[in-house]
Amino acid sequence: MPTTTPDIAPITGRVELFRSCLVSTQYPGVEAATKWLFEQLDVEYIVNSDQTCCTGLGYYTDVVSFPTTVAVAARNACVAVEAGHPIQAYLCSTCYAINKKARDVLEEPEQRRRTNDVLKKVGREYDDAVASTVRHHHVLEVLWSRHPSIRGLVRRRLSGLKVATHPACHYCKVFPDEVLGDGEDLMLPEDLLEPTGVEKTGYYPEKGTHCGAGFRQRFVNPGMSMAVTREKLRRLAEQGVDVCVHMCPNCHIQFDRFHDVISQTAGEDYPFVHLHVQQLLALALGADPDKVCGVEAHSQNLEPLLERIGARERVSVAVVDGSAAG
Amino acid sequence: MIGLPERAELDQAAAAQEVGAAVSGTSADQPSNPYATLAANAFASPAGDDSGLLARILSDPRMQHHAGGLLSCLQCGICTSGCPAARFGDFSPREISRRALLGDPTLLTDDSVWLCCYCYTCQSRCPRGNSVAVINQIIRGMQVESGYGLKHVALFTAWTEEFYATGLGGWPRQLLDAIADAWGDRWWNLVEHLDEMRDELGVGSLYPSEKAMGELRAIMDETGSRERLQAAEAQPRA
Repeated sequence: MPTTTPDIAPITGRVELFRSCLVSTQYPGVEAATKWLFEQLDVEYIVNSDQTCCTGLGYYTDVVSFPTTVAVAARNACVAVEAGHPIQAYLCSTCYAINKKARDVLEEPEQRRRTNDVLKKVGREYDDAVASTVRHHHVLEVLWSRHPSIRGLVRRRLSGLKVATHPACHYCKVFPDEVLGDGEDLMLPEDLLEPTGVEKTGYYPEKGTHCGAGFRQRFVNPGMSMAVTREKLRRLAEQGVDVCVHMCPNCHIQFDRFHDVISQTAGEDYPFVHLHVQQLLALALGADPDKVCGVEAHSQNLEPLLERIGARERVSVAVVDGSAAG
Repeated sequence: MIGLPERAELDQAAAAQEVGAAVSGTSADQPSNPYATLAANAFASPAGDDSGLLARILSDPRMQHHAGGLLSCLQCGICTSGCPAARFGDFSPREISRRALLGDPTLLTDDSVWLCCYCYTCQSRCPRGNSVAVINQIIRGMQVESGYGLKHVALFTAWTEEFYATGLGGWPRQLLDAIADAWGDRWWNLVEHLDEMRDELGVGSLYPSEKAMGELRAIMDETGSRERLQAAEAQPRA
């Protein structure tokens, strides 16, 4: 299956890897794998300890008001520009959407004035210089901008591994015009993995259905929440996939942590696992499953997959280029 | 009370998406045809917005790209056709859009808006550029501010507390503990060993700098998040 994701110019240098609360507390290996890939692909980046969480979970559980969220986003943009790394690269699709929404709202003079009245208390201003400098990208877009380099870096071929995408709603549906590709049939994750030899799934029934988490719904209406997740698991099982790849940690929680619970409750077998795109790509490029991908944090047992793709054996550059073993 | 669904509950939710079930939301002793109600009201003029609610929604900054979409909503129902809360629960984004256009003040005491999953499927598919996901955010916010909706957010005050204290969001332990029993040993291994795992992965401290946390608290104080938190904490939980 040929790639359909549009090519973009390399997003070069000056990236701030925008830390995610859910990645940090649930799947820290997603952050580590992303950093590892950035280093492999020569992306110049920093992690900025002056950046705070985007408020996404608080905003979408309705305990945090929109003016707070906009002011936090404006402050984070100021911080990124101040540090000279204004390309905010998001690990989480909700961070991505929240910050882009604030970007648009801050283009309205009255909203910007109100927000700057707040920022004045902390000695900051979201002015034209910040607005015209800060950029917002999902991490996968940064990686895609370097995709021609990936083929030469593959150390573990994933031939025969069938991969399907769970498209993150807050990447695909909040700013559909800014999606790299078709938001109703996102191929960016599978296209990124294409050089590793995976078998791509492409479109499947329920591909656009959300993960089921629904922010509050996972906790308040678990029946509705998990019924959605179950539908998706069934459809993925019908496709015979080996791995469902994710691009948002909240989706990843819903699938990884509830996969076996729903399987047992429903009495149905869903014989596949969940990984972040960056984790599977890093594994294919030779990363250590524990020290780089942090698989210990997952609820599913990933060992059979890791064995199958040879990730439990050490790899060296020699595997590919034929030079003396290192 | 948080609990995991039983098999029967999952099956019930799956059955609810069958054709026919979706329009039988009313109780048996009050048979009604939702399409008749719709037909009677679908073409009512927004000019009848005596409550001011429509104007309030249209002027919200979050509607900046969607106000024209709401005003030109043609009740086609594509929002409802893709909505997971309509498919698996008793919710209709099309109805929310219609009532918003009418400035229907009962939206401010309607609990169904709390079923929205904020997946934005309605927004991304709307041929007019409307966003019921955003309208729901506005209405929920108004419900919280009036006090009516505080019962719906009381469970999540732990999020604000944690954010205010640490500058880090994430799902608070109080919430996760209630559902995590089913997640088994591997989950508790993560809870116990997160710091060691993070050390091994070289991802640094969980928390932002002291400077960032100080600025964050000042922003939250200035934008009223503290008051919102305190009001919600004083509420019994729904």
